[in-house]
Amino acid sequence: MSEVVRMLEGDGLAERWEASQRLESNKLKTQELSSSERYSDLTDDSSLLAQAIELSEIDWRKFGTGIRMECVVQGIIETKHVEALEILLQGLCGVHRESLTIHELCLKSVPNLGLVSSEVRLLCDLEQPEPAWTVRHIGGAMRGAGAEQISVLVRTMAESKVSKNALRLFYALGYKLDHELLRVGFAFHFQRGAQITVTVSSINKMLKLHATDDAVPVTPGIQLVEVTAPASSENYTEVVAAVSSFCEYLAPLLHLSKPGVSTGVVPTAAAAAASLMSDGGGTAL
Amino acid sequence: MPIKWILHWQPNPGTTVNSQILSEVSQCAESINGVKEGRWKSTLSFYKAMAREQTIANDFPRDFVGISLAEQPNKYFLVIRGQRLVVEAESSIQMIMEKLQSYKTRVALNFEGNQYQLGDFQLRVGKVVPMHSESLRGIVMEQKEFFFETSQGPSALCSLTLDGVSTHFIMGKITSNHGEFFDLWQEALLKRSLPGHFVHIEPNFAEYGLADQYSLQHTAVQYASITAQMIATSQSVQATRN
Repeated sequence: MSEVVRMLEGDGLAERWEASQRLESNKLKTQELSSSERYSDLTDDSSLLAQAIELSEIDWRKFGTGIRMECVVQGIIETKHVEALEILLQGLCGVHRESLTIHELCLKSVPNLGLVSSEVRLLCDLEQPEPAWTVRHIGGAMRGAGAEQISVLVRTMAESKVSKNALRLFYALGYKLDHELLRVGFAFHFQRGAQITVTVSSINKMLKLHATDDAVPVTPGIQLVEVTAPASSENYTEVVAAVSSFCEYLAPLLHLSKPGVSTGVVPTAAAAAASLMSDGGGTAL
Repeated sequence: MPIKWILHWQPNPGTTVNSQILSEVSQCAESINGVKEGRWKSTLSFYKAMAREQTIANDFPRDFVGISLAEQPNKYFLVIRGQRLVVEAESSIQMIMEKLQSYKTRVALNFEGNQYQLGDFQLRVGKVVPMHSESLRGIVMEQKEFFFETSQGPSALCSLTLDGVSTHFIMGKITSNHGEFFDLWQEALLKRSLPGHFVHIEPNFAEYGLADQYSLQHTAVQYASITAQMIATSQSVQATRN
């Protein structure tokens, strides 16, 4: 009886389900001669394995737009030139900026969980009236000679909106907080050969756990600029081209490169910023 | 959102569930003037933890369930019953779980069958079968009732059609209304002398932090709960026999 109670509490259900199927199948095997019924496909380990394989070959297309690749480049700019960058972006994109306040939590699996360690990000959009949570998994970057030659990083990315107890879920599943940060800035979303998003934000760290009201910049005076665009295995070359050509317009103010490849600030930034500020972005650089 | 009751078939001691019972239950829905409205299907998957070292004690659960509901296949629900936790996500969370490789889907169950309309009730009768198999593991029934809020709290809207004129009226209490329908249904089933009955054990939604306002998360918790009960029943039957 206590076994049943424990099971009802939810511990080891999958195993117990399998075990109960095995018991039943043994019983059925003894009746095999008298019955031509088709038995469970969970009767032994080999069929379990077969089923596991089938399950892993789920048709991911049905999961919609959550799975995709993304093209990304990053750069840095001094905070004093951010206003000029905003004027330039406004002129280039023809859309208004959106404010951005995102609390990002990076979680890592505990040592014994998973055959390899794994990492997942929870993003909490603090601009919404009710904080909105998203789970994001960033996969490996595309490799090979072709990927080396292009100036944009192409990687897989999966995202899912999730209810506000997502952090509790991942803690329960055996993930621990690795670090957290607060991005504060603005973003432009627009269509230019691809669905491009440009974010300009300062990266802040929290002095106390989750204390987003009490955050201080990690690199005072410097902001991060990120240009991303969703892509798929069919169209990524066009998306890379669109992102690269867009980046050229920003070149006088900042250099954008693959994440992890630091290019520093641009020497021409001060002059370019001064020119933009004087004519309000009316002329192309 | 309408309230749902999810029930599962409890076979009498010494009997097991079979397809004959399923077909009798479906006939029963038609016999009380249920109008067939098509098919439905929900899926429940067991995610099993991939522990590197099996022998040491872990501070994560051995498994949890993921549920895709017929009402909203673009949503996905994760339930850890031991911790009374239900999380609502988009279906792409399945892709993320797959990529993390910390939990793997081992077994998936389909709940599928016909849907009937009976006045203001919607009734679903379905079989429980492992994915990629036709072997019957159980029978479920979903009852859906349409409510709206009044100043006295939730009430049921009932309609009566006389000479082609529809009249709508408000039923006072949900429970009595649901009870009446349930009695009618149980009576119809009793006449067939089937070796078992439908049981409804409502999970404690408050423990999951769910509000009184019924949601798909309530439905997901009910599915996780009846699946555990079905497994427990099949195990205790085995235990008695051995």
